[in-house]
Amino acid sequence: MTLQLDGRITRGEFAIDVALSIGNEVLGITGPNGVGKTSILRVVAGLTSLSAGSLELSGVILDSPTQDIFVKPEYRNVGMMFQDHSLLPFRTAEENIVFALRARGVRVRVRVRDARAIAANQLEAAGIGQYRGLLPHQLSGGQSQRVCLTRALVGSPSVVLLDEPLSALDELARPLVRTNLRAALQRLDGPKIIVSHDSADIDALCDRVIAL
Amino acid sequence: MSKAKGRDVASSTPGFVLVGAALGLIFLLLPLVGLIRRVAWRGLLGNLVEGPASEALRLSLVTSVIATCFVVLLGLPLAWVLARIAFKGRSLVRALVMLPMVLPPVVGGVALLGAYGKSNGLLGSTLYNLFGLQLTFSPLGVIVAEAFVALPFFVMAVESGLRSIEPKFEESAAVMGLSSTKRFSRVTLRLLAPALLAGTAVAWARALGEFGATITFAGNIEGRTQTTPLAVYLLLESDPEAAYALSFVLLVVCVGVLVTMRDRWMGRRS
Repeated sequence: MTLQLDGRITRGEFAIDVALSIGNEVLGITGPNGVGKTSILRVVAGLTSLSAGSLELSGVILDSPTQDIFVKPEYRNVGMMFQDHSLLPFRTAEENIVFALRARGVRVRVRVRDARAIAANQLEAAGIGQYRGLLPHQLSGGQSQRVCLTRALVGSPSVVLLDEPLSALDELARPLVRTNLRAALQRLDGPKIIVSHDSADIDALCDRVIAL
Repeated sequence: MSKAKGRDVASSTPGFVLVGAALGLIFLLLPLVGLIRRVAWRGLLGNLVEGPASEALRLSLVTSVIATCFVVLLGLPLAWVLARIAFKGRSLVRALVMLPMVLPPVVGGVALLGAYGKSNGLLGSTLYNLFGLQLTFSPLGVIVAEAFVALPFFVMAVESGLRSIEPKFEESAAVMGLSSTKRFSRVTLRLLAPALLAGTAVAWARALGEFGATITFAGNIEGRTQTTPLAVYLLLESDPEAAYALSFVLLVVCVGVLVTMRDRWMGRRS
């Protein structure tokens, strides 16, 4: 699978031109604040549309203003982790994963019981199994980040987008999570993009890096 | 250091402000004490379950609940449009929606007559000629009057609730694969629940207390359009004990609504 982004992203007064081709690999994007790293992820996810150019996944056009094509985010099968944690505040850590699994499984129905088992497993594997019954506001920043990360990777997404995935982790937890994430990303086929400020994270996780 | 000093300056309140605040509080509380003092506790239940008082309470309960349902059904889409869709003239539409809040209720009643009056109403004559439906002097008219006055309170609460929902929750739900309908029912509505509850409570309280628009538009027919506030007004002459008993019930209901609202103001989570 190849993700082909060649276009212009406009945010108010500000516009960037991006040309990217990402295959079955992990691409790292670095650069100072405000250059539009997050905007690229939002365009790929379908939360923002291109103002010019096109976005294609394996030859299928997802976004092309000139041809008046725009595939809505819910049809793109993207696993995305937002920078500001977006766990549903009224659901526990485990229920948040279950919610994502069931939402993703619209085409192939996932039963609640199966989803629970997968969620419990994944949280255990991420080293936060003991927090699975807690609500997001009861989790620390690092714990909630690991839940978000787990949530972005479940349900075999075609494209993975991670925005500062390890920024809230302390130095003690970081190396293990990094190793686990590396392994998890290798297991998933398709284009994967990581936006990060941390060069050690980028080095450890990405096959290729571009600086904006 | 300078911060502590600033706080000291701000918290050193001049004496006359405290006196004014105390007077204001007394001004608001004295009538409530007066009301409660006049309630005949021994005959309270009897006063409520007998005669015109019980009729009025029953009618008020039924009409205000139906009016509140109506308000929720119409108010939620209205609040959504005002909060989420940027269009030309949005502030004008919002001002029009909020108008019944500041409009004298009697004027609201007159306006309702102009729209739904049987003989001269804009829509009323058609309703009557086609379906034989008459809103004036009917319980349906009571519901319309109550909903008209209560709707803006609901829209205001829900619109601000919708605005305070951070987009990231609905965005991440969209990326996970939920359609806009499912996002609405499974994410937005759930996040909106406190605002919905508060808006419903305040709209219901407003509908329950409606007087001016009701008496103007629906009249004051015992057992048909005479709601509790209208009954209180009339009973004050003929049966003051019943009037005080009914007033006390309305007061208790409003305190209950305030308690519901307070939970929202304090931002308490489930």
